This record gives sequence, C-alpha cells and structure tokens, in this order.
Amino acid sequence: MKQRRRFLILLAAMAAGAWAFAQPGSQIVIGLQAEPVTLDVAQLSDYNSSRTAMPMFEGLVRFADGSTDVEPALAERWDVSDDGLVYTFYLRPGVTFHDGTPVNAEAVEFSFERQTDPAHPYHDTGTFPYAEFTLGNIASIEVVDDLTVRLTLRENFAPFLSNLGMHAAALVSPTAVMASGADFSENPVGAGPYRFVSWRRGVEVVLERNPDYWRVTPQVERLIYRPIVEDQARLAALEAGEVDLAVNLPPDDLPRLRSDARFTFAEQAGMHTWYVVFNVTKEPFDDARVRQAVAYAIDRQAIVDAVLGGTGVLAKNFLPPVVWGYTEDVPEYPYDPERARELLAEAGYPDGFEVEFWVPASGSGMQQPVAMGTVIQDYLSRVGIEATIQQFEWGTYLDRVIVPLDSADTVPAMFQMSWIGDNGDPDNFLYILLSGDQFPPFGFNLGFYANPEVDAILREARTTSDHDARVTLYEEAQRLIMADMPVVPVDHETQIVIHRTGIEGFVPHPTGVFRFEKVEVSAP
Amino acid sequence: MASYLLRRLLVTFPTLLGVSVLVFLSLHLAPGDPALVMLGPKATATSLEALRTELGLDRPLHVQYLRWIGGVVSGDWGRSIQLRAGVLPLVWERFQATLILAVVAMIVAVGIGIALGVASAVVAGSLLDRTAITTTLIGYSLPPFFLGIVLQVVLGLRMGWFPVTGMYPAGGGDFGDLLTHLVLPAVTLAAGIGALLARMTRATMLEVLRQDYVRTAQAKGLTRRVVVLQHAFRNALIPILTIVGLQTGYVLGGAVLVEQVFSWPGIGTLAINAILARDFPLVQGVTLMVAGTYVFTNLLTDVAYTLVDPRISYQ
Repeated sequence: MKQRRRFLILLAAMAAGAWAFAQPGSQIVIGLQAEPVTLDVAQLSDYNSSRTAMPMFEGLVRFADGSTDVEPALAERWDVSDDGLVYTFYLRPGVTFHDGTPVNAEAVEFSFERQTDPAHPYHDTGTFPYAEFTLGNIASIEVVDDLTVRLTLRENFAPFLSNLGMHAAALVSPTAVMASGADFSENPVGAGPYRFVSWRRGVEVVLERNPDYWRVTPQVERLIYRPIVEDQARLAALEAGEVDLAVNLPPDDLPRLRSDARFTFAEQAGMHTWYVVFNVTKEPFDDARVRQAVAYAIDRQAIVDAVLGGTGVLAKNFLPPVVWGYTEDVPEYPYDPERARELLAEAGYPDGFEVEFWVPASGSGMQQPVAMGTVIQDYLSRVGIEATIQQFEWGTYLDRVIVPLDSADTVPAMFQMSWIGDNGDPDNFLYILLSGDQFPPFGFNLGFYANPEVDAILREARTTSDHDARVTLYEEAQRLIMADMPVVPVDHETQIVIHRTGIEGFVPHPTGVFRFEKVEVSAP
Repeated sequence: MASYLLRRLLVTFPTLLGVSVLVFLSLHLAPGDPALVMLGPKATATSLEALRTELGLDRPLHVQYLRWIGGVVSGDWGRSIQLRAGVLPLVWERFQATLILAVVAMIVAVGIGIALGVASAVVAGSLLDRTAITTTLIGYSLPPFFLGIVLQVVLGLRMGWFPVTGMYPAGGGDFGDLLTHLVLPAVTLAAGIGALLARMTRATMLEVLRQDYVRTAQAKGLTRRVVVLQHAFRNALIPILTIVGLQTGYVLGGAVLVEQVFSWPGIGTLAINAILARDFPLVQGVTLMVAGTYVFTNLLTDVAYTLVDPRISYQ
C-alpha cells in the first residue's frame, strides 16, 4: 500500500513537472527559412538575419508600424538645414543599451564611422554591405554635446532620412563592440525591445524582452528563432505546434491553412517587384516596340493567379504600390497577343525571333523563377518568339548577370530579376534600377536602359527636398519608363506570415522585418 | 597487427590530401563569386574588391590552397566566409549532431536488418520470409526524403506521436526529448540500409546454411539455435560486415537529405547552405570531416574482420 502511494506521488510529481514544462511563459517560436548569418545590424544583408537581429536594435529614426513613414526613435527630434546638407539630431535622454551604457552622440558617431571609415579602430570587426548605400553620403559627424549629433552630407539627398531608418543606421553599443570585436556578430548589444540570450548554431537564437525599452514594455517574454530550411518541414513544424509563426510556406498548402481555425494569416503588400530584364544593348530589344510586344504577349495576371497562387499582386507599374509616389496613370499592357504580333511586325519581326532567356533555380525574392519562366516562354512562343531557357544556380546567376557595360554582350537579351526595397523611397527602385547613372558595377541597372529625359527627372527628384514636388517628378518618370518598357514588371510579392491563432497584434512590416514589442500571446 | 594499422594510417593521409585537392579545385573552378553572394547584389564594386582581398581570393590558386592546407594541419581550418566564425568549431558542433543521428540509424539498421535477414533465411519460403522480402524491397526502393515526409505526416502530424523537426524542443530539452526527436529521422535513415542488410544477410545465410559443415553440425545433434547462430551466422558475417562498413559512407550522405526533411541541425544542412553561399573554407572543412570519417570507418571495418574471422590476419 505504502509502495503504491509512493508511486502515485511520483506520478503526480512527474505530471506536475510535465505541466510546468508545457507552460514556458509567454514565448513565440519563429520558423526561419535559414540560419541567420550575423546578428550585427551593420552586417545584415538577408531576411533571416534581419528578422532575428532587428528586434534588438533601434536607430535615430525608424519606419512607423506597417509603413515606411519615418518616425522618431532614439532621436526625439531633428532639424534639417535649408540647403538639405546638415541634419542635427537630438537624442532621447536616459536611454541605455542592453549592457547599461548610455545611448549618446558618441555612440552615433561610433556606429556610423565603424562602417564607413576604413581607418576606424573597429572597422575590421566586420564587412558592411550596406554602409555605402545607407551612410556613404555623410561627409562628417560632429558630436555637439552628449545628446546632440550633427551630420553633414556630401550632397543634398532627399531619401537620406529614410536611409537612417534602415538597419545599417541602427545604433550599436560601442562598449560591446570594443569588448567583442569581430564576435560582436554573435554577441549583439543594441537598444531595441529585445536583448540577446543565446545562439546555438543551426539550432536556435533566443532573445528575451528588454524591460527597460523606452517605447513600451514588450509583453512576450522570449523569442526563439529556429532555422527550418525545407518549406515542407517548416509547414510540418507549424502544424505540429513546434513553431508558432512561419513564413514562405508552400503556396499549394495556403488555401488549406486559411480554412484552418488554428492558424491566422498576417499579410502585407510587399515592397518588391519581380521583373524580366531586357538587355537593351542587344537586338532585338534595342527597339521599344519589341519590348512592348513582349509585355502584351504575356498574361501576367494568369501567372499571378495560377503560378503564384495569389501570393503576389499584378504589377501594373514597376514601382510597388506600397511605395509613395506610386501611380496607376501609366501606359497599360493588358494581355493582347494580337497587339504583340502587330508591334513585332512593325519592328520588322513578323515571324518573331529566337532569344535566350536566363532563369535562376531559386533566389532571394525570385519566388518561383523556373515555373514563371516556363509559362513566360510558352506565352512568347504563341506570338512567334522562341525563347530558350537556360537555368543557373543563384550564386552563379548573379555572377553572370551583374556585369559592366563593356561586357554587356555576355548577358543574354532577356533574364529574370527581382528587387526588394530598402527604405521605402521611390529613388530606391527607379533611380537604382533604371537610371543611366546606375550601370553595374556601381548600380543595379542590369539591362543598361538609359533615357536622358528619365535620367534628368530621377536626378532632380533625389536632390529635391519638397515632398510634393518629388511625387510629381516620380509620377512623370513612371509614365516615361512604362512607355519605354525596359523591363516587364510581373508581380509584387505579398508577404504572408502565418501564425497560430492566439498571437495577437502581429503586423508584418513592408521592410520584411518582424516587430514583436506590441504582440501578445494567449495560452497555446 | 600494429604495423598494419600504422601502414593503413599512413595511407590515410595521401587519401585525405587527394580529397582536399579535388574539393578545393572543384569549388574554386566552379562559377560564382563568394564575395558577391555574401554581400548581395546591392554591394558596391569597392566593397566587393575589399572583401575579395580580405578573403585572399585575389591570390593565385596554389597560394590559396597551400595557405589553407597549412592551416588545416596546424588545427586552423580557416574562417567561414558566410557565418563569420571558425570552421573547425562550426563543423565539429554540427558533426556531433550528424554522428548521433548516423550512429543511432546504423544501430537500428544493423539490429533490425540482420535479425530480419537471419530469421527469413531460416524459414526461407514461408509467409514471414515472403513478407520480409517484399517489405525490404519497398524499404530499399523508397527515397529517404519521401519516406521521411510520409513518416512526418502520418506519425508526427496525424498521430502526434513524435516531434517532426529539430533535435530538441525550442528553448532546449533533456535526453528524453533527444530520443523522441531521434525516432523519425533515425528510422528514415535506417530504412534503406536496414533493408539492404536484411537482403544481404538472408542471401549469405541461405548459402551458408547449405554448406556441409552445417549439415554436420545438425547431424551431431546440436540445437537449431546453436547451428544457426554459432556455426552459420558467424561465417555469414564477413560480407555483412563489408556492407556495414560501406554503408557508413552512405549514412553520412543520406543524412544530408534526412537532415533537410527533419531540420536536424547536422552537417548536411550546414553543407548545403555553405555550397549555395560559395563558402569555400566551410565546404572544404565539411568535406574533409566527412572524408576523414569515411576513411576511418573503413579502417575499423578491416580491423573488425580479424575479430570476426580468425583466419584473417594482417601480418
């Protein structure tokens, strides 16, 4: 009898233990597509890293929830000189990094110069892919007093404030960088709503809430990021309850998940464009009529519906609708194979032509490159354009298509590309991707399109401070570009985050980062 | 024996050296620039150039190789380009996870495979035997990634018996958690090898059971059990052992696929990411580690022969 009672007590204790384990406090387990590469904000260049690292950091300004409007963050306010060259930021008093050191003007100077100044004593603590893009325009940084910092620009550059909302402009704790050196990448210290706990390579990254975060006190105690590379495995983990939130699940499974009450969809129109690039230095795409013919020949809406399963929206314009300055008052290219054939005949190709079409096997932002490429190939063959698909692995692909003008003949007449916006400014799409100033290796205008009129407008727009004037300029640029059709925009990918029902207040951000400081969870 | 072992160990080094040269060349001659992959399309020409210099990618190939192999010998396996950490600790940490999976899978495969093989040989032609033959044929034919997904969906999601991803629950766990997480990936990985072993064992056993000495043993009045296990099985072990040794290499290869399906934090997932990122030092490290393991297991197999069969000795 005594034996039996002891056994029962043991059982009860075990059950209690199991129960205690099943109640881990409030936490959210996030299924990532791959392991983060670095947790140092200054070194980020991929979604998995930025989604994990960004909750730990904050910059002078940040993008508001759900948009790319700039709002105050570690800087309470700022002044801009009339010539647009001098920005003075006034820091929020009493804010500290996770290691307890103060967020001050010197930390701003340190965070920026560490990336941009090769002579900086801590420049060798990493590689900074976004330094030049984000901060390259800063000529000098002046520490005015403990909480005031003045940035002087080389040239008036309207999107500068938006750049300061980007990850590379977030502030890092100088003390922590000095202590960790290159290992800061694995021991990040910032001033964001969450702070670093641990990183087990290939297994998980654990963050905990920062109780001293100035904006709010985060509700969710722990965030655990797990890399699950296979889409199918990530889906299984979500359905088994092993992760609470995941992205990039197989499109075929989305309708089923949508009707499952256990899951909630959080969607956000993406700051993304998927497009076909024409190498305009080559025949026949040096002729705008041929490029327009291709646009008419492809049923892009059908690609969005059938191939992408509604995970994107039709691109009526090259600029995504989520970016300000977007207009639909541009030449339209509905599916019209008849019109395509007419244009081809006008351009001297009544029987069509043969063309090489390069496609990556996969790639960041490329969605379903092979399936989309095959469908496009089929549409083109219906108007007499025989496209031969050549497929490459992503690393090789980038290597082959990003070449300077003097190697333009090595790039095929047609290939796929996509772009994910950085700072929510139209300049970040139109100037970088389609200006004649931006041929590789300095820019990303891979098809070498150059229209002097467009170039002049884009140059003017990036140095104009007045917002409304910029909107007008960009609207005009979009009309000209869509008439020239240097690229065929196909879709803007929708960011789809699926989480278990019971997580409240999760809103995906257009920049792709995850924000959890206002999220709450109820029991699983 | 000692001198044989020494000789074998010495031969190991040129083999590994050969592997290192092959891996190095195939990586560096393939298209794809690690600096570009690492910095992404938005990198500037200056930063690309700086990174190439920093990584030593602007040096001649033989200089790069000698620098790397010199480091490997002295215990410095270089620094991962993509993950910005030392290669040896990275590879070693992930290799342990793969080793756990591989060893458990081998134990399952060998245990079940040999038992099934012996049993169906003894009762050859019976219903059990025919069922075993069919099952092993299926087990051997199913690609591991497919079997993995089926097990994941049926036993993990539908039945809810086993966790479907990872090595531990999020946030960590204990030995019991490790065991439950091991079940599906280990069974998936073991299926093909176990099936092959079962068929091999059955065939060899059938052959041995027809030998005269087995009939003699039976005629002496020994029990069936003693005849099968002590007289026949021991003699059937040599070819089985060879297969086990060879399959160890397969397990490491198969683990790559199985790790993907179950998101097991092993060397496979590490290798795939490293290859896609053109992370030369890391791919080289992973390959060297796998090649080393393979060479080492072959050595162990040869040694095991002498233990199983006293007629084999290495003088």
